[in-house]
Parts: sequence; structure tokens; C-alpha cells
Amino acid sequence: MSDHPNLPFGHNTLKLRAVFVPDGADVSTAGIVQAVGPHPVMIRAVRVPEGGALPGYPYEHIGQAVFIPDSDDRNTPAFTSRRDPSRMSLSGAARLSAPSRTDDSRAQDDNALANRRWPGCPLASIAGPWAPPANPTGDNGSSGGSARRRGVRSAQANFSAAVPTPHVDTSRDAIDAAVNALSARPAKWDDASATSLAASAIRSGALLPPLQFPADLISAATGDQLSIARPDARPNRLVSDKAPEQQPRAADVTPPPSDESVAVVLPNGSTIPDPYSPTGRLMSPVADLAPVAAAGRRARRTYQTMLHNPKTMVGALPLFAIDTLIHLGQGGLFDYQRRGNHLTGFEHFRQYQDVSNFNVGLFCQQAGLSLENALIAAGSYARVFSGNAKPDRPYGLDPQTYEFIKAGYQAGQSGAFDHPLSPK
Amino acid sequence: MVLLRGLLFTIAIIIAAYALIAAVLYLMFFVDACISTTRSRISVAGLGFQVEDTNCDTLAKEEWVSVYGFADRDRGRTLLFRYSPASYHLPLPTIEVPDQRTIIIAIPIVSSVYSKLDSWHNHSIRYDIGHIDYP
Repeated sequence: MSDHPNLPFGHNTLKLRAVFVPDGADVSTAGIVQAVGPHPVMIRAVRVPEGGALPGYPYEHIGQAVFIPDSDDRNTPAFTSRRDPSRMSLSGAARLSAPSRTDDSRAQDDNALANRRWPGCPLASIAGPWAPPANPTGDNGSSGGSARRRGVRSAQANFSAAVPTPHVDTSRDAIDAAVNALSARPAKWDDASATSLAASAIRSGALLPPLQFPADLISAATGDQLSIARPDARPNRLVSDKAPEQQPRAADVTPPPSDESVAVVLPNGSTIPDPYSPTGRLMSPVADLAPVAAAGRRARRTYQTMLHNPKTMVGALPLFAIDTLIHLGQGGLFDYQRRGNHLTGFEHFRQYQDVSNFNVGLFCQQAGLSLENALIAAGSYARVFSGNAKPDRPYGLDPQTYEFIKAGYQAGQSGAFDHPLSPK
Repeated sequence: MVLLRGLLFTIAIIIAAYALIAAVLYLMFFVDACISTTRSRISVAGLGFQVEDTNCDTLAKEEWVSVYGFADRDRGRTLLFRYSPASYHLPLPTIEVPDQRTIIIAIPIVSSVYSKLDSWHNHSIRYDIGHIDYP
């Protein structure tokens, strides 16, 4: 939150930051990231003309909202011809309030952005938030407004939204709340020469990934509605009758991975931050990773038992390797990113790469390996079989892979998964 | 003599068992450990480009995206840029050829960069990378 010191938002309030680019211009994702931060979430959206039928699944109607223009917007001739935004209402939510642009450091950032050029960016040659004014003399042309805002329409508004009820699946709580809160009643977007919008939302003190909308959102006319498809939306995914904490904890048996992403919840109830995840938390097909830890402990017990028996000691190490690969290898029980087998083929779930690496670290820690041995083993296998060794990186592993294996190991080391029956 | 023969037999059995296990493990877990998928293929100004995503699943799970270039005179493809994506939901790189001398590859954020070519086929390659998590 250090980036947003001026956001005393209430529990159900969102703050949106928008960057507009001229009509006909493609928005550069690189530029958006530069403007609103990394990890933008792409959300499909459609504009529904006034009186038109809603598109239905996977789109979710999100109602209307009010855009509160800042002083620069009010100065534009186009704005004065529009309906008074103060008369507009937001469905199911409280009235909005707009922060002062002059008080908001982000507003100043917008103007700074308006006067910089994104090197090498496709937008560099056109007017837009990443390009300087087309006419350095400050000629405003027909678009009105001040010289520094020519071709640039930056806006900021607060949106209030009711938290969806019944309880929203916490794995997508933040994004869904944001999506539910967003709306399209852009008082000026209808005639503004803008085609794209990127916005970041902040809710309850948590920074959401920036949301990026397609061009047709901006061309919405007064009275139009907007429907937005949730990322990876699936029917009945949003609403759950129970809060996660009320749901039964998974037994020491691994449930089959589902297509539903949920945040990993440690036994102490905390989640694991994941800056690479759209939700900011480590996502998994199952919330409870205790079965991973339990399998690691079992592998350790089996190995030790066999090792101390002269008749079985010779098979201890191979069996341990097999045990590890069955659980963590390609298509293994805890390899959530791949499902299937060699006969029918593998299905790849890219979104579970981080948690699969986390499982490697957790399993190895509970199995009694040192962190170094776990990383050496992982790096060695990767070096031999992936053909993409990185000799300049620790253990030859990709840095992100390394980080999540280490995080899993440290989670196990923290004692969070210690079991009463554990031999540890 | 009989004892020695028995010992050798036992050792042979163990080695054979290890080899069998290793072969099974190899077939089960390491054959086809990497899956490559062509994500996009474009042709710009007479130059062809292919964006390929590769995921390798050994013990560690790794992924990288490669941008290859094709030219008429080339028989094969040339690796121009390879990086590790920061997240699955982020967009693929965009490729532009604004003039006869320049290729621009733009990507907002990457986890790390594996390799990048500075020039190819009489074109200099400019990289517009918004952020690198692990420079």
C-alpha cells in the first residue's frame, strides 16, 4: 500500500485508475504495465446498448456506475454537452465520490506519462498516454481541453460496490468484487476519442492486478450497460454457500485436481503470496497441501525403515526415488500442472506451475532432504531432461522455479505442516 | 566357488533390477517431459515469426517462450528471443517490423531472459521489455 497512501477506502470501495488512448490506436500492454503496474488481467467485455439483451454466460452483467470527471474533463467542450453525471446512479451501490486530481500523486503521474515516449512501443508514433502531444506548440485542435491533455484523457474515480452475496469464492474474491463493482456509464467515454482503458483497482487495502478492457468499452453511449466476462469464468464458480473456513478440511487424501482455482491455505489459515498470480496468492486446484506433506513424511518413513533392514536396504533409495517421482514427477499426484499419462497424453495447466514447484519443496522437506539436496536434484533433472540449463543461475534452475521450490521447503520447515503423528 | 557364484548372481540381479527400474522411470517421467506449443505465427514484411511456448516437467517445472524468425533465404528457424514468462495470464510478445532495418519485440513483463539476438537477417532487433523480474 505504500504506493497508494491516499486511499482511505472503505471495505467495499474500489478505486479505479484509467488511462485513455486515442481512437484507432491499439493499446500497448507494455505501456499499460508502465502506467498501472505489472500483471494486468485481461477481461473480455462487451457493451450492451440501452435496451439491448444481456449476453449471458460467460459475461456477467455488472450494472452501471458514475464517472466523476475532474476539472480538466469539465473544461472540454464535449463534456459540457453531456448529461450531468451527478444525476446518474450506480446500481446497488452507494453514491460515488471523486478524489481531487491535484491531491492525488497518481494524477500527476498520468500527466507525466502523457509526456513521455515509450521506447520502442508501437504507440510511440501516435498520440496517447505514452506519446508526447502531436503538436508541441500545444494546439488543442478540436478535442478541446488543455494543451498538456491533448489526446490524453486520464481519469480517476471511486466506485462503491456491494460485496457479492452469498459468499464469494475467496480465491477470486478480489477480482470478482472488482468486476462486480465496475460499470460502464462513462459520461464522457461516449464521445471521447478513446478506445482502450486500463485500470487498477484497490479493495480493502489490497492491490488488485490492473484490469484491462477492450476498446468497445470506451465507446459505450450514455445509458448503455456493460457486461464483463470474469477471467476463466465458469458457471457457478463465483458463489459458494459456505465460507472457506467453514468448509471441511481435506483429509489426508489428495482429492483429484479440479479446474477450479483456489488459494492455497496453510494449516494456520494463512495464504501464500504469489506476485505472479492474478489474485496475488498462490493458486492451486486444492486449497489444502497437507496431503503433500503427509506423502513426504510417508516416503521418509519408508526409506528409513528399509534402510535399517539389511534385507531391504538395497532397495531403499530406488524406492524413495520412485516414490518421489510418482508424487512429483510428470503427471504425478502433486504435479498439478500436468494431468494424464503417456498413453492418452498430458493436459497442461499452466496456472499451476508455481504450486507444483511449491509442492516439490514441501514434499522434499517433509521427506527429510536438505534444501540444497532438493534443489540439486531438481536442477540436475532439469539440466539433463529439459535441455534448458541455466548455468548462471543457482542450481541451474529458472529463478521463479527456484523461488517456489524454496518457498515450499520453507513452509514445511516452518512447522506449519507438522503432524501429531509425525516422526519429526 | 559356489559362494562367489551366488554373490555374482545376486549382484547381477540387483543391477538388472536397478536398470529395469531406471528404464521404467525414464519412460514414465522423462520421455516427453517437455511439451512445446506454437502459440502464434505471423508474417511481417516478408519475415516470418513463430512464438512457441515450452513447458518442461521433470522434478522442477519450468516454462519458457521462444520467438523464432524465418526468412526466405533461411532453411530453418532462428531463435531470436527466449524468456521465462512471469505468469500464465500475461500476453505474448508482439513483433513489429517498422522499417527495413528494425524488428521490435515488445513484452510488458518477463520473469527472466534466457537469450536474445541483437540482429538477424540484416535487421537490428530492439527489445521493448517493460519489466524483468530476475534481470
